[in-house]
Amino acid sequence: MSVLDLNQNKDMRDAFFDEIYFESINNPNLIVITNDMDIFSLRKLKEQRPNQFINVGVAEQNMINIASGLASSGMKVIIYGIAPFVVFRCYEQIKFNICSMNLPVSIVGIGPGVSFAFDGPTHHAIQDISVMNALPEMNILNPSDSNSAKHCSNLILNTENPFYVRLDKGVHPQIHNFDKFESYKIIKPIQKTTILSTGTMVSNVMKATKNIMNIGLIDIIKLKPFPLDVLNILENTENVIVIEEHSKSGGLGSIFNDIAADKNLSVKLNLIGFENKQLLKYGSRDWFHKEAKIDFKSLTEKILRII
Amino acid sequence: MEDKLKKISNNVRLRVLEIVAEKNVGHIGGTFSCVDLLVTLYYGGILNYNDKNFPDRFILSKGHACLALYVILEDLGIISKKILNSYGDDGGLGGQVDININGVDWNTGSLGHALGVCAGIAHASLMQGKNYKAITILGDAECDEGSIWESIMHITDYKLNNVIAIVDRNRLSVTDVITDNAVFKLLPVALKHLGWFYKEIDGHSFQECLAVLNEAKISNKPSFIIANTIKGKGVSYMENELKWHHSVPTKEQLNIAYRELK
Repeated sequence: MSVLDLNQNKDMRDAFFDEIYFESINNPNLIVITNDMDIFSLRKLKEQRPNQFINVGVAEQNMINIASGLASSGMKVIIYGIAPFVVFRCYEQIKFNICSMNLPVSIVGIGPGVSFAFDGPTHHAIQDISVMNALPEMNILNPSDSNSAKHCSNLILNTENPFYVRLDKGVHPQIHNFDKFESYKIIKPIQKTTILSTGTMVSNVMKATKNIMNIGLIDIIKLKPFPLDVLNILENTENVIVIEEHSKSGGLGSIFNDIAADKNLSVKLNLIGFENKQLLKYGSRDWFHKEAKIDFKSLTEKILRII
Repeated sequence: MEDKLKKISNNVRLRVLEIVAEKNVGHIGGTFSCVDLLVTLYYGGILNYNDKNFPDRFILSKGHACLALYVILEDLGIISKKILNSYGDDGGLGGQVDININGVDWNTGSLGHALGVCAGIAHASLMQGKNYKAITILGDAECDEGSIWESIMHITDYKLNNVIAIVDRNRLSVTDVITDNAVFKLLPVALKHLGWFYKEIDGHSFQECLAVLNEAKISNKPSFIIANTIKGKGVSYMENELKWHHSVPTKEQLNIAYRELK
């Protein structure tokens, strides 16, 4: 079991963006762009290095186009904003100007799943993995704690490809103690039934499986390209359960299903996530999880039924 | 200079026509309306494409006019005759601008992107202290795109004075005549009000194109030039006719066109 230590922990956004700030000091070609979103750890970048920070205002299409123009001119570009707005509002710009040009632009979508629960349907990001997975050049990261968020930040800073990072907000239980980026991590040893989960849902699954001994758990941090090692690791597994804070259509479950089929991995697959339905009501994140039966108590029941 | 450019333009039009007729595909109307603008940029000393370190950047936003660009790139020796001749072939040059071709700066084909991309290039140019220009030719129907308006506001706010936008104002979209739409009523007022270097020119007068583009290059404001043009310019029966957006001439029509362009 990995370390769960809330005391040394920090907000996942701070863990991620502190690295961006440090890099900006050494790299004058690093530029951060937002659609008017305030991030505590980037206020100092905005104040101290105004040339390396652009607030384009509420204009996401333009934001992506500007980012691609900058990246094509030798700049390293990090974009951030509330996840659905930096994904859906400007999808063609991403497909065309970032991906078809294969430019080093990283899009950081803040607030995956229903983390902006109170702001309602417009602010949920439960189809973002689906659409980003459809773009051939796009890499997708979904860190599960502040430690993995920090290493995702270092990875994008040192890689010249398009990235989509699904970054949660707030302080979440610390799961990892990596000293470098890892694309996945075995949290509980592989069993006949093994769970794949991703993002901060991993800590929910850890809580849900606390008293279940005969279950494996892998945290998938890099969703695309999917780490193929995981298929070898699952060679003797009969049941795979995928649990994610995303629609069951097109998320980690779908990505895994496609790859397992392609590589002739024969496992029984159970997908747990949001149904492919609009979430039109308002409530807290916990309430949405309960409604969708992905809260830790419902998860425990579902997992016990499967094994 | 103007006579020389006119001769080049006629040759570009002839070559475009020959290739479209041979391959039976292309967008002649909107290509012919911007040939004189492209020739001014490439042969009139406006676009500094040859600079080894920091060339000006040029994006043909109306990607469907790509064949004129390809003909020019071949004439300048940037792409080979063989590449140009692959136009319309499977796996060859296609109907929109393609980054994989030498001398092409950006993939286009979907409209409304290039001005924002130019804004990004302009930011980089200024941050790097280089002041190379980011130049684009837009279609006029394309100016309906909201992203273009987002870019205009951004370029204004960030004083990106090295952006030059040229609109090929041929007044015909794919299916409609666009002479009196709100976009073109508002653009001049807005751009002047926002402090841009704004000019309307005859896009087929090399004298005007050269004068205004040279002025734009040294201007300390972002530039927006409406070039009034004629869709299908140069061939009488194609001029101002909607159907020549993507029609291909018959043999008889072709002979008339050759006579008029030679």
